[in-house]
Amino acid sequence: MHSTIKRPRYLSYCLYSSLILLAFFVLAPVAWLLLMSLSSPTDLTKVPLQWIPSQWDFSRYAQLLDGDNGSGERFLAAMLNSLIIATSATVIALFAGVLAAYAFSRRNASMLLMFAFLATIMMPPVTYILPLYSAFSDLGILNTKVALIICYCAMLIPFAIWLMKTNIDVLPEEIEQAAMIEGAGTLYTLRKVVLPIILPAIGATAMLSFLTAWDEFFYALIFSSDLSAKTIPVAIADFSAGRVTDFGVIASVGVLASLPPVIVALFFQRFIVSGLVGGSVKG
Amino acid sequence: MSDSTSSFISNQVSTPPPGQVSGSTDASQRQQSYNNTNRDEAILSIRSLYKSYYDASILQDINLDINSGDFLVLVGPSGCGKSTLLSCIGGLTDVTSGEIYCKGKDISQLDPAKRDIAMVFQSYALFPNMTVAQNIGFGLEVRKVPAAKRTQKIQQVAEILHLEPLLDRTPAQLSGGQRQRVAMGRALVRDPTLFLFDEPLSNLDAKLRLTMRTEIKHLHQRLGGTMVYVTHDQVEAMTLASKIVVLNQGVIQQFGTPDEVYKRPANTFVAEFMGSPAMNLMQAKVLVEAGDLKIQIQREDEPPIIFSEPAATDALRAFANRSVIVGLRPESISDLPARDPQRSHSVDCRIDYLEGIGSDVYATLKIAGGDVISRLHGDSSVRAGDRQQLHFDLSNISYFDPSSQLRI
Repeated sequence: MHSTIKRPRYLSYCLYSSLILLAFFVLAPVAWLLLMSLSSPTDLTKVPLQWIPSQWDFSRYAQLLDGDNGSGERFLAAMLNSLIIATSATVIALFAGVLAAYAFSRRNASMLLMFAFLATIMMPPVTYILPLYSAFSDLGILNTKVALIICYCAMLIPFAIWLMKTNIDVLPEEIEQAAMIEGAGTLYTLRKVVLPIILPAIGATAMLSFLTAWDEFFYALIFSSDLSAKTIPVAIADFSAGRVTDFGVIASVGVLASLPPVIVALFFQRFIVSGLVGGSVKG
Repeated sequence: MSDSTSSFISNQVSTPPPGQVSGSTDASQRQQSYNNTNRDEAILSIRSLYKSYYDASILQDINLDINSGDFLVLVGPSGCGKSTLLSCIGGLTDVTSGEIYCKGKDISQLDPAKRDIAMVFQSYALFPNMTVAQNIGFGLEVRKVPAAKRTQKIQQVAEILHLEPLLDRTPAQLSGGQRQRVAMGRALVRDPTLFLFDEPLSNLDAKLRLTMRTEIKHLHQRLGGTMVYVTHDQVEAMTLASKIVVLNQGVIQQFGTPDEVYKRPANTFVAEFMGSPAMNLMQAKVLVEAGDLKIQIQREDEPPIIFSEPAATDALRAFANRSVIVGLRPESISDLPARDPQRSHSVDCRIDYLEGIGSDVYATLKIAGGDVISRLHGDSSVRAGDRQQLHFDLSNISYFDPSSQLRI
């Protein structure tokens, strides 16, 4: 039913073994992370390594999710910070990105400006650290979530504009012209006509933006110093910075920290469907 | 022949005054026909409109007036600027200079949303994320028409266009003809001052195109809106229009009723563009014999065709003993006698080859060094190479100046 063309047997073997290999490469680290988080410290330090834990140890998860406990408090605060910062930065970047992309795509905004935006993300972040640090310090917003939201917006907006512009460029312009002739203003057209059509692109951009902000380490490390602004990547680093490192704890934090992006990805995946433009122009 | 110059002077056009369909106007009247009174009466008036992209001139000195209920068709070959002109009226393209008046108000600098016009796009341009009902009701929603009234109007339009069973579908689930109907529904529902159609039928197959053409014609007769319609199909132009603008290279060649454009083309371009097969153009000489004007058309190896022109105008007399171009439609050269025996001239011709289309037979003959097509009755038994007595019906004959190509 699926394919009427018969594939030679050796080709099928090749295809499936490549798939298995790929799956192994992608899933093995995650599996190992899970195993580590559930192994007892003695199992993890045994030579040769005890691959399958002798007993399942869920205590670290209990510890991390318990806010009254020292490491639990640090972890939960970092999770909350990361959620607030990544979500805010994503929302702002999408909002600004869609409007700017429309201006570049349909209102003949200067392409020079667009390339200038893109150039900012080509530079290594370390070049911005010093000027940003002194600027944030002068503004008195060091070690606040706002500072990180600003940084991440600056990173995400050029990228969002670029992605959105490519998607708006390919839309048939007559659809917007039709809306305008029907009496709709730019914002109305954008909201009711353009946005619904580019929803897949918005979904993809939102997902990528959220992941970028969630995983960012360098700015977060420099600009945050305590629980009020520390994000999850910095918190993970902190857990490993003690004198005695419990790899199991780090692994548990890693597993928990990867849950929100996974949920976000699952949520946005349903927007990423193709063929939304079908039937609008001649068929 | 008449003394009319009603239709064409280089890139200027004349508009018959309201009520006068194919009257004749002289030069001074033509000047006056673009005064303000006319502009205020007309639904749409265009005054010395120019459009150019960088160095390329797309539209030059466009002037026209149409009244309420008119069906104006802009017709011309590809790249003549007809779609650009429509786009200028709709506000989707900025004009370089000139004014567009709608109900006496200059709208040339106005936002398309504020022009009170509706447009049917060549590509339909439906909103893919909305149902048929939402597509049709979009303009009403923008104008914040209450939901109940909106539904009622959508129902009315759906009824007119036979779209009722499709109201809940999305454009992707419709056929080409249905999409076309939805696009028209979106325009009809708002009752705007002006409807613009940009080659709306060009994406449909031949049979559907005919049906839709008839439907558009019926709709116009029933609803009485004012329409501006772009097409490259001259048959569509002839059947739909109450007024035709023939454009070529951004210049209006002729502005008139379909009858005027067909029977009294303003220049050789219009003569050849309108009508299928095109008007036959033949080199001829104007002779004066005892005060009578005679037209002589040379033939190779055969005696020349000579007929007298009793209705000669002064303009034609001025061409005495000089060359002119004679224009005759294929149906004016027939094996059947002309309606008016006074204006009929019979000639013995050799038929070169024949093309039968069932209802008629098109016969090609050589006159004045060129191919001339004549329309014979469908039952004609003549064969290629035969000699045949053909009747030249001179009642709708056209004369053109060989140097300027303009109508005399």
